[in-house]
Amino acid sequence: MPAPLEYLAVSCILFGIGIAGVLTRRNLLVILMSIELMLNSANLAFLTFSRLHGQLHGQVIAIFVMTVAAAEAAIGLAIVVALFRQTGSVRIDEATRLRG
Amino acid sequence: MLTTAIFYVLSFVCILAALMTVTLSNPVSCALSLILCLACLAGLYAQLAAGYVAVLQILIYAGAIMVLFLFVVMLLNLSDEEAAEGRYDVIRGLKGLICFAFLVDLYVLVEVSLGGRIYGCPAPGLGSLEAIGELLFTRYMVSFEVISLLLTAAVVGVVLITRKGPASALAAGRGGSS
Repeated sequence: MPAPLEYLAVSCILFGIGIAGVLTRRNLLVILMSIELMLNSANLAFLTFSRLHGQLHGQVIAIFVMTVAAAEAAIGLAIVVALFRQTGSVRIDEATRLRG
Repeated sequence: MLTTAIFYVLSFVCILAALMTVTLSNPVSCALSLILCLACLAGLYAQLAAGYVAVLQILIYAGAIMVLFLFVVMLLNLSDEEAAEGRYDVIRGLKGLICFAFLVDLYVLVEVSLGGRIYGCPAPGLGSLEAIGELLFTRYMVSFEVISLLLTAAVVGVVLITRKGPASALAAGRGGSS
């Protein structure tokens, strides 16, 4: 069985990739996918600690995180559709209407 | 031994798919590689004695959420020009570098705080549906109810946001009721 540190290393790498995606991409859909990636890396850390301590609380929190991710994806995609209707594009550098 | 080998294969494919998710230019390819990444993560969850969460991961994430993503990508039907990323300048490279530093920082933090810990013996039935259900409906009862409220609010919000001509429709509705 691999050590907890190895699972946490995978979790850290996935979180870093997710942040890089959010900061460097311009396509709003890909940014939302990167956020999903970050939420999943948090889930992996929760489950690793749940296994490390032999307790179930981490798994219950992971289920809650999954539910919040579902709500977030629904709202985010609705915003993408609304933005596309307004500007005809999903690039965030063209969504500048609120800029002063 | 076999568990370790499976772990390395799964995490390698998972990280590769995650990299493809943030680097590929076509949103459909991004979504498909994210599905691959989530499926590999479900395998890792199953290794950590969390079978129920692994099943939920496949059903909810790889099933429902990613199908929603793909549905929206196909609904918008973006041309290459609209999905284009623009040029990569110094600032964006700097952002990537900051992310890498953050990643190393995070890992060092984890290693310092956790170094050398190993697993205890898992309790029998850890991660079983019965145990999770019992915890969910006793100790986490309030959180469970709040989550149901959150989902309802999300559904109402989505309907409101995607409504055609939101401002005029809302104004008309308000004017009619008052």
